[in-house]
Amino acid sequence: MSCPSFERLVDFLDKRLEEAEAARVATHLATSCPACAETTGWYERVRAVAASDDSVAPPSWVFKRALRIFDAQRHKPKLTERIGQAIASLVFDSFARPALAGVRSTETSNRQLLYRAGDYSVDLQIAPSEHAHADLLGQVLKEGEQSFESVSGLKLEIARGGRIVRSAVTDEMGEFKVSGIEQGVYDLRVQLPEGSITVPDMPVSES
Amino acid sequence: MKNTVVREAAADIAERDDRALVAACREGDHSAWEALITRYQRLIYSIPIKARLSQDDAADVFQAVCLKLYEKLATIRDSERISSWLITTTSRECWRLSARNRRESVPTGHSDDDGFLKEIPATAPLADEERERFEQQQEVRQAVEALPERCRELITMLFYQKDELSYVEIAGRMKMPVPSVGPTRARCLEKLRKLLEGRI
Repeated sequence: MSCPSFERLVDFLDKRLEEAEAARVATHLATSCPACAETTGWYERVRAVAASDDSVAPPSWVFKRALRIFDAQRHKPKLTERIGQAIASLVFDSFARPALAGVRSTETSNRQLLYRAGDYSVDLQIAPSEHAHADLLGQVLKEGEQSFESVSGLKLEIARGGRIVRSAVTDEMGEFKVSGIEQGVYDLRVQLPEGSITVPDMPVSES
Repeated sequence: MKNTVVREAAADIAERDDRALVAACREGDHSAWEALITRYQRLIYSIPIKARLSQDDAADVFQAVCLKLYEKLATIRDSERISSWLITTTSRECWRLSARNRRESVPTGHSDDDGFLKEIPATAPLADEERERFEQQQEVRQAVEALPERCRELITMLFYQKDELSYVEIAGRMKMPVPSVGPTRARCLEKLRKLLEGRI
């Protein structure tokens, strides 16, 4: 017997054929015909996927509330308008804290700096290394965001005297590292999808 | 007449692929946003329901994920599968909400060290096979949605109706002669197969 038509094959799989006809199709399938085996496999897979689908649609108020996001967000100022070419301001410098007289610090000699621009903060740790160089470790964070989605894969540029000397990309936690940078004062620019944040006069040094 | 126009518009939207919908959303097309949410509403809402969150929490997860989807529109890559991203994002939101609920339900006087939070899963709550099932169900639903109206109606009756219908019952509901049911079904399934090519 030659291949049954697609319609007949599906009828067979759905047990809608009369006995004699079903037997003929079964005999053909027993020959392991590759074309019919592929069709049979596909139909049974799709039917099984559909049969297992017990998904639920949200209540209409939930759906409508989600539709309103579009207009509400579009009327909000964009990130570029809120941040644009924002200059980050320094909110913490571990070396700016006065040391207690006569008390030797047990803390690391690494310098910690925290900058902020809009919802974003840039946390920096400067670890001096040999020959007046330093390692720069940092993390970009967005306020209220726990998934790190907005801060992963951001491009960073470190410039001195207007010339880009190093660049890096944040990892999936918003962290980055630039090793062996010559100590000095740099500008750090973090490129966001719709704007950028500049940390001006970043002191990569111990003092 | 109006209903026919609406249905035609719905079919047109179902045929527009994700890339086109995202591009239209970026241009400010509200109907494209509605089409995206319509397309993925079952996927997004079913994950918290399956994770046994309450309906209120499921509604919160739905809203949070749609907001994230909106924010994602600007940076979404062409090669990125929205369904896959949505499953990851939704399961993370479920996890986050469950963790918050558990923290809030810790009796006063106990700290985290007492082990009340130890049951919170450390990773995404979806097993690989469950994730795959969600993706495949979405693929098939989406393909059925993209079929011409008569086919969509027929395949929905055959695949998604809990009680199996006879050809006579189908013919009655579809207002077509009984002998036409088989050939029509075969034609519709061929179309569905083409839409699902390389996917299922």
